Amino acid sequence: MTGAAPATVTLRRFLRLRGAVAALAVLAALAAMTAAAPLVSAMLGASGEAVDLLGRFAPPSAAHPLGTDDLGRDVLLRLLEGGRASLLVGLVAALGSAVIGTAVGLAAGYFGGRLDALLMRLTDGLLALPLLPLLIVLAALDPAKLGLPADLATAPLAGLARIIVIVSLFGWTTVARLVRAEALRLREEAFVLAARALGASTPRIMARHILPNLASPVIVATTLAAGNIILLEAVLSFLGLGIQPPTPSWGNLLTNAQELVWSEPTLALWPGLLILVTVVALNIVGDGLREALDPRAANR
Amino acid sequence: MRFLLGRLIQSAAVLLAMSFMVYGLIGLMPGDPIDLMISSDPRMTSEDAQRLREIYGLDQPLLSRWGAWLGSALSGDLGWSRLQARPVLEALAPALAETAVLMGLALVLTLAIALPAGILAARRPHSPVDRTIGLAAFVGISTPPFWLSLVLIIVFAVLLGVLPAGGTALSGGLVEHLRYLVLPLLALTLAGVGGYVRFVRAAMLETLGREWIRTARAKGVSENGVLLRHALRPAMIPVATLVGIDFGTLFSGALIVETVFARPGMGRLIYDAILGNDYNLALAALLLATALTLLGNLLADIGLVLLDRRLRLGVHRS
Repeated sequence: MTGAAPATVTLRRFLRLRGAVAALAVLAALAAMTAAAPLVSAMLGASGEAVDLLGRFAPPSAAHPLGTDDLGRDVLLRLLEGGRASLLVGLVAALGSAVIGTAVGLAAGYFGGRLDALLMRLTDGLLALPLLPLLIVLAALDPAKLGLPADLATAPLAGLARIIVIVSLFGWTTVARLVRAEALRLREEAFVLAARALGASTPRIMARHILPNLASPVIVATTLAAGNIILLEAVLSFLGLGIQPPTPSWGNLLTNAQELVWSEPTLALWPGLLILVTVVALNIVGDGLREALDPRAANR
Repeated sequence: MRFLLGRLIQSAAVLLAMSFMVYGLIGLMPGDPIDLMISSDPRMTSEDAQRLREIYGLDQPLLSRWGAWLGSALSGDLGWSRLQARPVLEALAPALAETAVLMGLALVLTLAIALPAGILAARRPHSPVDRTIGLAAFVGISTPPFWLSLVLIIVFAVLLGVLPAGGTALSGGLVEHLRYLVLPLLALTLAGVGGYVRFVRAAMLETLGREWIRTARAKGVSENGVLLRHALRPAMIPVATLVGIDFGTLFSGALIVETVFARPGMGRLIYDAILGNDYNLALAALLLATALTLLGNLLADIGLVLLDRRLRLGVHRS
């Protein structure tokens, strides 16, 4: 072991994994490109929203690098803007899942006993259910009947918030499992026992001694869960229950593409490829992080 | 036996809890049955609507409404489907048969691919064969199933024109029906097979590290004999568990595939019922889907008992 700080060691180990670094670069490039969509729009003088009925299904050109769709909208820009919505929902929902999963896993692992049995039954049970039909029910609920004021319920951001909440509600199980296993181990560690012997309260032990040590399983599990979350969002949007058109997302771009599959099959190619690349990259980065953060692999 | 009986009771309890939850959730969907009646009859006044609510018991608290529903459901009356204009039971039966065929065939095909592939990969870990299989499984897991369906439609229906893009055969024999089944079956299988391959490989590697494998090798059993006779059976125990747990995922996949390929199965039925405010049908179909999933779990448990002699003898209490 060198005298370097753990974070530096982790970083050095991660950088040695070429595949993971490349995947991270791909993710960063995707995020940067989708974030720069307005800039690209200004550069090309094209728009992902403006309908141009005379320029329908235009072939790729300088102004429209990937051509135009059935309403004459620029395909590249719609892809970038759709990516912004998909990645944003994926990121926020992954964070939401991480919070729920950490809370459930920590409670189950640290307190153990009946609470552990109950929470883990719940986690397993959730996985065994036919999730998608239930998600569709949740996506079809009327927010006004849940007591939300009507103007808030129909606000444009409410749709985005709703899909984030729904996906988070089902994405936390991986995180919970890993956190539980780690909390179960940490609770028996000497430093936790010492803190307890010194009279530290349970919330203090959790906050000072357990949570900081949970960082690596949470990071790894969240990265790996993020791929699933993006797939889930894409499916819901594809089925017309997630992000609603005209706001594009990779999922609902494919809904439109399916309707045009006979006249313009290439439209179906790009959104799916981008989802695939994102999910593959997230899974590779997750695996890389696991390898880099695993202390047992330290001296290899 | 005690183990299975326990699981049966547990499944019934889960189903009961689910029925209450789904009943409550469906009540939160936009509109209610009376709204639908009002919209079809402009002469109706708000007093009429109130009276109708009382007649149909919609003014009652949730718990007693659910109790009433449960009572009639258990006596075989699941109500009337608004969209299909026939009793819910009649609407469910053909859809269930459709989905059962699709899911059953997909499961068989998945195992037919995943078992050999997983065993082959576990035979020589980190060999080029293992790496190739691993990569294929990885790409399969990361591919959105609905996009995969679209790509299959584009390749086989639009570009090659050899298979139908969706729907079911209206007439014709078995071959014609099978032609419509090929693409959905392929999509559903490819969507899940990657996970199974990885799992079979991991389970095989786990058992190959056990002491009885070393004994078998020391006795001079051939490598294939070790793999198939000594390692496969114990490795099947976690795989059977996965089949059970994965039943819900398979059903979700069937929903996607049936929606993309416009097949009149359970998944498609649930989707249409929820979006079309067909409360009775949605509720019954969702619960049937849950019951099917729980049945899948249960069947996997029975498979587990058959595979694991310790469970059969009751040595292992669970």
